[in-house]
Amino acid sequence: MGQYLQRRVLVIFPTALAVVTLVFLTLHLAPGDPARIGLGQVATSEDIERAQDQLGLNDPLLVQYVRFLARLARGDMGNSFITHEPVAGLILSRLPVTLQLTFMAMLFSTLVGVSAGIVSAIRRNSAYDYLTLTAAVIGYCTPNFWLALLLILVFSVNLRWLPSLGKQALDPRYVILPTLSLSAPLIAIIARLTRAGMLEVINSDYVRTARAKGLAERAVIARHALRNALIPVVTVLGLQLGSLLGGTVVVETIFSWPGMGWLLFTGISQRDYPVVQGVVLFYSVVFMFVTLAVDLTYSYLDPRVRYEG
Amino acid sequence: MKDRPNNRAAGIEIDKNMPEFRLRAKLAEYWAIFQGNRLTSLGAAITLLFLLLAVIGPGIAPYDPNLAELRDRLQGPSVQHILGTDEMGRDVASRLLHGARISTGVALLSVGLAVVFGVALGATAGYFGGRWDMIAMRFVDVLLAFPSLILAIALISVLEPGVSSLIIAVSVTRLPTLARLARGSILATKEFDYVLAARCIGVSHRLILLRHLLPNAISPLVVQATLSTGGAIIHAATLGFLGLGVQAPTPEWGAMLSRGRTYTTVAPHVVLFPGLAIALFVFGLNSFGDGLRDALDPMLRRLAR
Repeated sequence: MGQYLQRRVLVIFPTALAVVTLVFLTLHLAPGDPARIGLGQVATSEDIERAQDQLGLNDPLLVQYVRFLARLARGDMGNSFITHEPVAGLILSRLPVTLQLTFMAMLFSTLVGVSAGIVSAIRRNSAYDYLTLTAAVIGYCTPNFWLALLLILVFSVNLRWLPSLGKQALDPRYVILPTLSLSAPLIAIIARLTRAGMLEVINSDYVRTARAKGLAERAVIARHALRNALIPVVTVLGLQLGSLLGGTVVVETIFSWPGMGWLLFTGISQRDYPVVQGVVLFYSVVFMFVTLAVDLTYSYLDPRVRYEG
Repeated sequence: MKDRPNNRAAGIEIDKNMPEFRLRAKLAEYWAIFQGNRLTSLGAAITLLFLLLAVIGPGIAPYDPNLAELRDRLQGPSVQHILGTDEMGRDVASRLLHGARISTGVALLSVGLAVVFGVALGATAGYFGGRWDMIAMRFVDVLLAFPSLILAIALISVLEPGVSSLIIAVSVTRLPTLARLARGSILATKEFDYVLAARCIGVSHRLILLRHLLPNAISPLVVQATLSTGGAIIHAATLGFLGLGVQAPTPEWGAMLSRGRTYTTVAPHVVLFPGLAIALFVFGLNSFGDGLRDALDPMLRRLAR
């Protein structure tokens, strides 16, 4: 265990550095002069030159790179070209919204997906099972921006039950539609995996033993079968966090939620590269560490992983 | 021992008919995929239908996709316009048919690029091992460290907007899985005796990779590529929806949704049909891919990890 953990943790640092370098290089190659974007169309050429000097754009690439790293280490991601606010501050102010959305989607899809999967497995080949499987297939194929628009159409426009955009702190009505549109594919995946996992373990010897010793069916499922059936679900949750984070860009943009996804979207449309750079870095670093955490949890749950290669 | 000449004769006999036998065996194998699995057949049929539409769609479209008739804007489905008209009075059905070629083309090209580069990277890494394997796989790790849509958005934000940028961005997100899969397949087969035998008679590394090792990796790669295409369609449409993909007035499905979005309340058909097209195509590809996987390669999941 110790060795596996060590190797996984050690590898993440060079990978993170490579990610940072890649993002730096990519945005360095971006079209458009940052000094000009920051000053707008009316700037004179002297203004632009002065700004270029101030931003250090005339220094050699290596110098800029080292300076970029040194600033990043202090948590300084530069300032927005448009509003001139520090990017780190912008991200931190938008972070809670995205965290809330992602967290709600994870929780919701796990609850719904796991329960639907269990019931489906217990009542295999029943009408309920087919219904769940069909819903799962549909949920998995539906692009989340389309689902969001359909939900708005049904629940906001036609039924007028829920608001179609905006976010009010602590008003649950604003949370339902964005959470639902973000979590649909994940619910589908989790339901299918839970069903498959349950079907696999439900016929195994240890479950039969548990039944034979007279344990109530509920306890057999909850205490014995479910534990092993859920191992793949844990991995998938970690892997799918990537699609959830990507999905926040779309969902936040559609529902006008002031989170990081929306920040990224507006950053791109305004060619505000420091913001784009900061948000992309932030998303990937969070994703990397969560993936690591999931891998470690997985190796704890399933000892076989630790001993492989 | 006595039977030996007989056996050899039989062997030669089989050799002669080999191509025909092989073909028949292959066909039987493929046929078995569809037999008794309605979902796979349905998926394959839908996939074929969309591929067909991508080829002949623009030809059978009743109207010019960019012909704006402002008097007829946002009309519901009718006899003249079976799927209605959009916010500029353009025929939605015609735009969808033209869009089929764009969406399919973008998805196929980006997956194709990802297959070529991913397999080249993964296969050489697995085959040669050592430092190159290290470098190639760390590169793949770095790509996997980004949430895939975020990576595509970041790439596209620095490239000139347009179809080729879209294809590149989507293809980079598809590459890591294919590279890992190719590497896994090569690692699993490169120690076999027939590879050693080929080496001994002086076959070059290139030929061993191309002729002896890669053909064995074809089935899992085909499966993964099929499943990957569904994801590529969704990614391309999402980027189009965010205004980062194919630019207006080109009738790409995601971009159509993006423009139609403002008119959701008055003309729901403008957002309904393009989304339906995307979902249906992805459903076809995924069901087909799932069926292929179950039939051809039960080991795929293990290798891809």
